[in-house]
Amino acid sequence: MAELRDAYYIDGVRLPIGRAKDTGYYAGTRADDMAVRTIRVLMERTGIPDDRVDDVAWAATAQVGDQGLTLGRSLAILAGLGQNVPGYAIDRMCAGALTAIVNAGNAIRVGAQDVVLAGGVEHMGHHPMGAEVDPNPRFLSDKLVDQSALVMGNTAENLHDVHTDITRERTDEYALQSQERTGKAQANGIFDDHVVPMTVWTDEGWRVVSVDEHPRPGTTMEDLQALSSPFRAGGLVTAGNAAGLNDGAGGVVLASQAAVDEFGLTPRMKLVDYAFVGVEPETMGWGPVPATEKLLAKTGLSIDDIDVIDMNEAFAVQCVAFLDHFGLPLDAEHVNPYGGAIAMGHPLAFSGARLAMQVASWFQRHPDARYGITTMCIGLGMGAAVLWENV
Amino acid sequence: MAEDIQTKFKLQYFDSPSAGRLALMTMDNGFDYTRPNVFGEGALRSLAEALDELESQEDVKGLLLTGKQFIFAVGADTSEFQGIDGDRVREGIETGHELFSRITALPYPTLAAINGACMGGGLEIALHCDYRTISTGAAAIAFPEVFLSILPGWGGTQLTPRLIGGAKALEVIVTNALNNNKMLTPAQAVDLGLGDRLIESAGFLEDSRELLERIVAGEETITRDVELEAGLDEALEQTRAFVDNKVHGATQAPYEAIDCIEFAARGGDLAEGRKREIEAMTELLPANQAQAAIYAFDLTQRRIKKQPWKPDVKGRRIRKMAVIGSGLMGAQMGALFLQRYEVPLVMKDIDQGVLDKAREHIGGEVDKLVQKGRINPGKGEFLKGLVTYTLDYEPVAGADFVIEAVLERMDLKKAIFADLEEVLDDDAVLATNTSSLSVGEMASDLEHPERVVGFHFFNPIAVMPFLEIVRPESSSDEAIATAFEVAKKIKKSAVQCADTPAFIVNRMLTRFNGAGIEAIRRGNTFREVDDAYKAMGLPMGPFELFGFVGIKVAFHTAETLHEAFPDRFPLDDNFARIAELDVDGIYDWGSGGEPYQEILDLVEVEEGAEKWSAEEIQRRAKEAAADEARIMVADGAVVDARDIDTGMLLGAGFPFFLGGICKHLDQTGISQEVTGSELVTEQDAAFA
Repeated sequence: MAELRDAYYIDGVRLPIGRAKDTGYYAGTRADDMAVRTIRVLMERTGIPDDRVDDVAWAATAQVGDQGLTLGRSLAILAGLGQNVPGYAIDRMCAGALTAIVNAGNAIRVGAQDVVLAGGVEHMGHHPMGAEVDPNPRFLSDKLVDQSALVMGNTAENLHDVHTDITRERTDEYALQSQERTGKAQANGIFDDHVVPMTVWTDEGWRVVSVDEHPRPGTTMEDLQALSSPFRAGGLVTAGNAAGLNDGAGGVVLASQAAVDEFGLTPRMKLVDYAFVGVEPETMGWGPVPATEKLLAKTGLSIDDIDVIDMNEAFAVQCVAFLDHFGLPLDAEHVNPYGGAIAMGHPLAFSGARLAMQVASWFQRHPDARYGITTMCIGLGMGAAVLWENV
Repeated sequence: MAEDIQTKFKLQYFDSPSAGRLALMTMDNGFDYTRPNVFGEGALRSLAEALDELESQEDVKGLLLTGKQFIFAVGADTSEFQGIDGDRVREGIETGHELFSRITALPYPTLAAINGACMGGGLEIALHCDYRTISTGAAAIAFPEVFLSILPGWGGTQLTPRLIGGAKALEVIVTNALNNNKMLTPAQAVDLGLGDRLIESAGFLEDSRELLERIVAGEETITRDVELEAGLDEALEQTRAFVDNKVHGATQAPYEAIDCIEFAARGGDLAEGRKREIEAMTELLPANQAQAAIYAFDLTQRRIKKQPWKPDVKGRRIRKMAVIGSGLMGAQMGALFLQRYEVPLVMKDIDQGVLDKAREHIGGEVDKLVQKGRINPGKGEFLKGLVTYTLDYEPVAGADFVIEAVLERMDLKKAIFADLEEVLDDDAVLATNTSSLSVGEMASDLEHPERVVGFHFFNPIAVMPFLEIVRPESSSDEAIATAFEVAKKIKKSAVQCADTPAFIVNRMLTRFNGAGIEAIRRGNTFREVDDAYKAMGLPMGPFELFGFVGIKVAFHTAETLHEAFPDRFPLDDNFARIAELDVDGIYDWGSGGEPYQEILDLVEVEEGAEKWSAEEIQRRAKEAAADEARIMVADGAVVDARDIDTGMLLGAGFPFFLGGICKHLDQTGISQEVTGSELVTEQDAAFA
């Protein structure tokens, strides 16, 4: 087998994440237009000629309506990259953009492509979760999965059942920390290098949105404790300790060394390796643990070698389970240093791109750091973990 | 008005990291792009409120003005123009000037982001901003006012020359408007200097905002190099000559516009220039010409697009078409059908030579599309391959819509229809392009007469936007609906007409021009007659028209009408003799444009007859038109007088400022004098 080349993360941008409701940022904006906005900014910022993009890999969970029509190729045309630029659509539910990124990286690593745009979009206001799918009845009739596996909140409750030591107190504490860390990062301008404003249509005219809509910076422990679970009577999973329903879009540019040299790009990190695993769909939140274990085993690294971990916060219980498994304290400073989806929101297929951007931001502020991991749990029982190296 | 479609000016603010607080002002009437933003009284009130708010804000550093999705603004609300009096015009125009000037007076950079269609008052509000960006996706940019016999009266005539110089302002405001309301592309508008930057549609608002941010932050400056008077004298002379040739002094609007532009281009004071605009608009808008133009605009832009005559049934699905008779007209039809329908097309004739020429014409039209880049070469070959050229009827089998374009002979057309009936499905539609024969009679011997409709094109087919759909009593709703659907698909405006001699346009034109032909017998020259007609504002006189449509064709129509209505359509001997000559018109354009000597030699003047004055010719022409219009409405040739006007506007090129012909006859009291009442007031509401 030929030797693999390096695939570099060059740059990434995203829109401020909006709330998926009629009054949310993007209620009057098309999902594809959101993605186009980020692609145009990426092209302008990197200075790569539009027609030198070798592929556009774009993820969405609901690949219909304004997220349909072979998204990556649609975006190439809509963004005006040129007829010669191909593209494709990707779906691995919550890990869509993360999958797009590793696919793009692989195309570069094997030498097939030099510049690839990879990202995701999810307009959960236009595409409420699960609304447009028709699950095969055999899932239930053949008892392939438990009914609870198809409702993400229920899988989080299930995870509590398995890990009885993860109390409501601890998940709310984790959620509060997410809000605080995001609020602080926002105030410190951490997101300024990758969040770009968008002019959006509303009934009150065009409006520029530039700051994430979802965080609730003033949240207190009392606020969180007062919430009840919508998923089961006496349940522990609440709107406060889970990610929201959101609209978001963003992507990254990955490039080979040849492209870096030709276009004068500055690599920010290198895609080292990754792992995807399947787990019980009923406790899909467990996914990041075996995925990360597999990645560490493959690369011969230990959890102590990892300088930063950015984990998607679908549910606080899933994050606490991960921290417990690796013997990390709940307030480990290098895990989700800028908070996460509980505060920022989780527009399904898009979120993996945000994680990568935040690892890149963290590396920029910690030049001596070497390794970072982005990891996510995935609906229908999967886990993803990607290893990045600071360059 | 039942629903509120007034444009609102909606304010939002954005704290830009680099430029500080920016205001975004969106013009939005709450409907999608099919109902563009217009400025009526309510819109001006909304703008006043928005400006009150904006002026009270102390920390704003810049303003971006833009439109709702796909539309900037397309100007004043013309629905408020109808029957408006001078006082209300003055008030509306003054209010616009005052409000737009307040935008200019804002103490920070203002940028109009022209994101879509931008016309008239929309362009004027943009001109009151300091800077303009134009999206590559902006559909239409124009000052259509002069086309409507008014002028850009909210600062357009004053600010345009200041921005791009007097000569170019004349082109944009006067020449383009009178050239069938020609629109500018975004690139042209930026080249002319109306826009400062052409910005790609995909990132238009973001890039426009970022430009404003850089301007506010002092990171970018936009400078313009305007030569107010460059080429001005020559342009003024050319434009005045152009206007004379177009309207012959029959509407004052273009002349007033030229004067206003010249005033500004000569360095005239802006406040004084605004006053001139206000005075001009106060005169122009309530005047007959503008009122007729607004009426004409409604007929040709709104009413005809609704096809109010179309029966409420679905037409036949067209999967194959055929043209019988592949001569000049037939080949043009074939090219049009092929281009719009992209379905198998059969061109039939009895002469292989004619078919070869048709193949050459149709192939050539397809090649032109390829050369212009409108279709790719592969598509061109595909289209050419759809056409069958044949001497036989068999290949016509299976066609859904067949039109004949053979010689104007009833026996011939009946025979062709009978032959077609042998090979066609029972409900395939048969259309005739006859200009004068009875469509009902043509159908009378068929097994399925209900399938026959008249489909009367105007020559040259590619250029003329109009056709008459003739509905004989025998026709079915399905056949008529099919005809209207075909008209829409080939992008022609169609008016329905009953199966009456010479239909609408040729009948009215022949009657209207009768006075001119008679005048020759009284000793008037051809030139005198044509000048008398053109002084009414027409693009050409009767004899110039002969050169355009052909003397033989015109005479044939006259004969048809004479047979049907001998009292009103006498046959003129001079005309009959001239029609026998083999000449391309009355005037010899090859040598100075004088009438051919052989024509002059034929003309006989009645003994003792006196020449008519221009006024006499005009009076007789108009009185005859009023009489004929009344009869056409009464005998059911048309539903109401608006159908005649629509035909004259689109089929005969009568100017908007005459509103066709009936509107003008009403405005000048001739309808009432000749027929006892106005013509256009008798409107059938079902055909609104």
